[in-house]
Amino acid sequence: MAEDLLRIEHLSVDYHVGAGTFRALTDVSLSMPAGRVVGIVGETGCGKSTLGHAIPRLLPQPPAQVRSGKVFFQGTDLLKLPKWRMPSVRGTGIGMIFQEPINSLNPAFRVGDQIAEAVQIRRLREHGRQPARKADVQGFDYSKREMPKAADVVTGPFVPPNLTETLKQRPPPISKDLQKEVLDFLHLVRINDPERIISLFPHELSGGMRQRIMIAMALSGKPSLLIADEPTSALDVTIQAQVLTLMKELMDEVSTSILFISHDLGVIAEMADDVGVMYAGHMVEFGPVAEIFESPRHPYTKSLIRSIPNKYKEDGVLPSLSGSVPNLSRLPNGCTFHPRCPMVRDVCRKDPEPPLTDLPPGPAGLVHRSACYFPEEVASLP
Amino acid sequence: MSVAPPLVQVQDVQKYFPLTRSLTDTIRRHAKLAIRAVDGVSLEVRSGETLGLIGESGSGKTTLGWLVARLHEPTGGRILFDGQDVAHLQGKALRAWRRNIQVVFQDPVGSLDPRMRVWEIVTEPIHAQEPGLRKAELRRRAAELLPTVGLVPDCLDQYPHEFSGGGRQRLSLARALSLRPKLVVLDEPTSALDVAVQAQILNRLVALQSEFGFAYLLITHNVSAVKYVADRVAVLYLGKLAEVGTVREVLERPTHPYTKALLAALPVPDVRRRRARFRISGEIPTLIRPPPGCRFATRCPFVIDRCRVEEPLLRPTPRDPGHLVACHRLEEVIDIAPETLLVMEGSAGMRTALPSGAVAATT
Amino acid sequence: MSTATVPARRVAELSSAPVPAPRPAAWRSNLILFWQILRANPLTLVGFILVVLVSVTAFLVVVVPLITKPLLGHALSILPYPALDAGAFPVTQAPSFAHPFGTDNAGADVFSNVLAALPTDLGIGFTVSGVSLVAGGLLGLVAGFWDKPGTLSGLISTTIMRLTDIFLSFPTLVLALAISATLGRGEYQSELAVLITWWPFYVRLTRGEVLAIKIQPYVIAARAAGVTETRILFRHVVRNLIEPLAVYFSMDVGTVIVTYSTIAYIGVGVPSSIPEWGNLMPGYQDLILTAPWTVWSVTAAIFVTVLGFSLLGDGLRDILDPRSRRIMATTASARGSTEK
Repeated sequence: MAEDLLRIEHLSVDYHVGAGTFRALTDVSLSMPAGRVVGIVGETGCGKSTLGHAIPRLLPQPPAQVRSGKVFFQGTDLLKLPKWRMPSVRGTGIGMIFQEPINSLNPAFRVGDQIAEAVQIRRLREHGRQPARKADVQGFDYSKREMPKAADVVTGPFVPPNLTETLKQRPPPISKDLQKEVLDFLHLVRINDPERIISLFPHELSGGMRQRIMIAMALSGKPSLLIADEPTSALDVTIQAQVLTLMKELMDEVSTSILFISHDLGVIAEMADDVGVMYAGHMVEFGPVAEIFESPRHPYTKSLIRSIPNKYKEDGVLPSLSGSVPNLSRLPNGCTFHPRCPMVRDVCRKDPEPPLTDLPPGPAGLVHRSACYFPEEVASLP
Repeated sequence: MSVAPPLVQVQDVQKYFPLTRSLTDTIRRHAKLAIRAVDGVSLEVRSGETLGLIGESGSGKTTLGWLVARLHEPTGGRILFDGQDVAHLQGKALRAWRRNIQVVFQDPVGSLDPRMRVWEIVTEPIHAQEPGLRKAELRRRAAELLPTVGLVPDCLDQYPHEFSGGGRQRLSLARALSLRPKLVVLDEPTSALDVAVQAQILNRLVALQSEFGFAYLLITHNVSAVKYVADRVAVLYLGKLAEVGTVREVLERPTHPYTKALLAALPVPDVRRRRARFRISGEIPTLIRPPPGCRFATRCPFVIDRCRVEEPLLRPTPRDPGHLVACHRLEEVIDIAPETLLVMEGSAGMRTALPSGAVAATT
Repeated sequence: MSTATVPARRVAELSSAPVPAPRPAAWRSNLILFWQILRANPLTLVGFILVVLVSVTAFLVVVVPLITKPLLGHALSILPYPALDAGAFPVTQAPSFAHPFGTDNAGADVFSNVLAALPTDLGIGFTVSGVSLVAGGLLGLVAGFWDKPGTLSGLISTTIMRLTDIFLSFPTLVLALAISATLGRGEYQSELAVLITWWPFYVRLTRGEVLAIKIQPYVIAARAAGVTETRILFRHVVRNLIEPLAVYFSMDVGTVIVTYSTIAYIGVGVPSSIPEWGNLMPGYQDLILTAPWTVWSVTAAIFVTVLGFSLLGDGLRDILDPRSRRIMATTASARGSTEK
């Protein structure tokens, strides 16, 4: 089997706030082969965003603290990389798209310049080293290497043998060539008149347009993994449909894998190949999208899907999940879902919590995991 | 149709928000620019029914809700409440009239004063309408109210930040219901909530309505919430009404091209229906200079020349006289299902940017 | 647990529901909370202790002589020696048990001088900030709450703000110095000078806060419920103003003391016969090498006072805000969700 693009092993992240410790992620494991869209879905506070930020190490520390775990990206444990090497992984390795494009774009610069900067950073990195080989990132011994200078950090960790040499090779601010590439990226995200758009400031664009720009920027680094954190939640339905369709098309065109984080089950159902369902910092179920939505094997997944209103009021009461999400500073013993679970038994109330285990493969033979002791009984739930 | 007179009649209401002008504009007497948030809408809400108002941002749905609740004064038109024109009520008369209508806001954090305790929040309308009630009486009323929205009365002395989003929205609801109003304007009541919590609140809304007979004006972009709570639905686009009808008519037989587009664009949590989607291209135009003629003409796949010049009026569909649609090509588009709009993908602009053949068809 | 599936209970049944009594002794639980917050923030605790220490000392310096005079016939003072008492002791003696801060070039006890100046400075800090708070706060409230353009109140609002802008366009210290020099030397003259330059900051701050609070959904909800504007003003706006103003006020006391002392130091403020920190400095500055304790004592007094108020002000934000209050005091035993 091919090496996974991204493999997360037993990742646990805490937040220390005041006197309390909030367990944002507990023992989350995930593997993501290249070329797939993995959806992460869950309610507010389930840790899905923390997961998305923990991978490129963008969590503010403190208050966040990675308690344990490994994040392998293209075979390298990102959590072990020295901090100054992370900028090179971000952008060219892992691109990110956030929910509010207006906050992610610098209001003081024209969008064209912002994309050009991203393109230029990638070019410099390509300049400074051979095409990405795993060996470049692996086997790095921090102690034997000189500390980088500030300038190196800015231009990436691939410290060229001679820094001044690279600086000489730096393309002029906005060359014809650079501008053409910027326009290409805007064309790629289906912007009609990119020549006009590049000279605009972010506030002059609509929300959908800004999100396209963000996607163009993220793609301009040619990342092999794109982490999209609620990319369409701030957009209107018809605009959301446009952006989602665009992302699907781009998947094929630029062969990027996407980690798609959303609270919207509908969006996940449309976008993802595999789905991870999160609850209170735990990954409770992981499997191919068709199985997750049609035969969920965790009671939480099932009740989450069922609570989407899809009937008229004459048809009776909406099924809803009783209780509320547990406080992350005081997680219940045993299965975190047991206080709200309709099929709870004694074993669920006791530690240790049920681990995420592989289920017998279905007809498609794809991996399906559930963190429930009784995955077979979920089907019998109403 | 209904025998009872409608509770609220909105008649050709307009709300323009003037843009601030520079001094030179004033001196040069430039035409006064305004955001036409609501531009000639007529609607009615009957006693005890739920009217769902759906639309995207900029459609004017929130402004319309605020006009009905008289949080805005309309620029033009009439708003009849129980037959009385309330559009220009002022001062004491307005304050006294307010007991008839209450509002639940979207933002569960901002809509509750962080420095007030639960009992103060919940009884604020009672205190406003019946001043001079003693604290003990107000607390008693609050303790009565909380169970109706599913909260325990023990939390009278807590602060709003001690509640989750759903809990705060219940508090907002309790405050709105405290005076037993005839109409509750629900402004995106569940948009900030998770699906599981949303279902609880929607159930609660429906249960309360059948118990107390409130009328609801439910303003939302969430079609599934409207489907469950509403009896009738009005679809707004750029300050104009596109379509009105019973919830089943509008959602199952959407007629206006915009409604079709909106429904087709909804992400559905059903993998079997994972399909190529209709995508209306283009951005929502600005409300300052809306397009002449039909507001949707710039994005409509069925647009003809007439649409760009002449504004369509609301007309009943042949099937149901209560189902009104503002479209010139009503008879032609009525039977086109949202899903089939797929083939018509890409009017103007969008297609030029697409490589040939790369229409929205995926998976 | 869930009530979502249960239809709402009939009101008749509910009217018999027991009304929970108000929380007993709310002030006591608040006091405990206050203590918990102080313990969780050591810096706030330091600020609190410093402010209490400084205030109590200043109080005693003023009050002890006033009380003891009628009681004992002669005034007792907590000052070890009379202040500014030239020639009482040998000049420029280093700190000792008898003179903790040494003596100055006039032979007066520096500790007594510094202590005697404390009530003056603290009083001025509180008076100037307090009057500014009330005057500026009221003007800011008026300017922020009734600012609808095109009305009389809008005109008043604009006038207040333009007037404020004019005052703010001068550098505070320079304007205060100029006014002080014009009014002539004297305790009250320089106090007035600082005051005139001080209130505009409060107008700005208050107006900004009012504008932000005014558009909060809870204010609109109150209006939708038929709450009168006056009540909205007091119940929502003023109540939410208290915290930012109190924080600013407590930090401001220190700033006023510094400004006032500067005016006195330059020599256009308090006459030299009145003990005041800034006033002591010109006489001491030549001694910085020969008798550094004189300069350091005065500096330390100013430093400690200003620091105390700043630290306390920082912590007040947490203490006054019910939202952070709970978080600060939250331990593992936090209260659970109350929804059923």
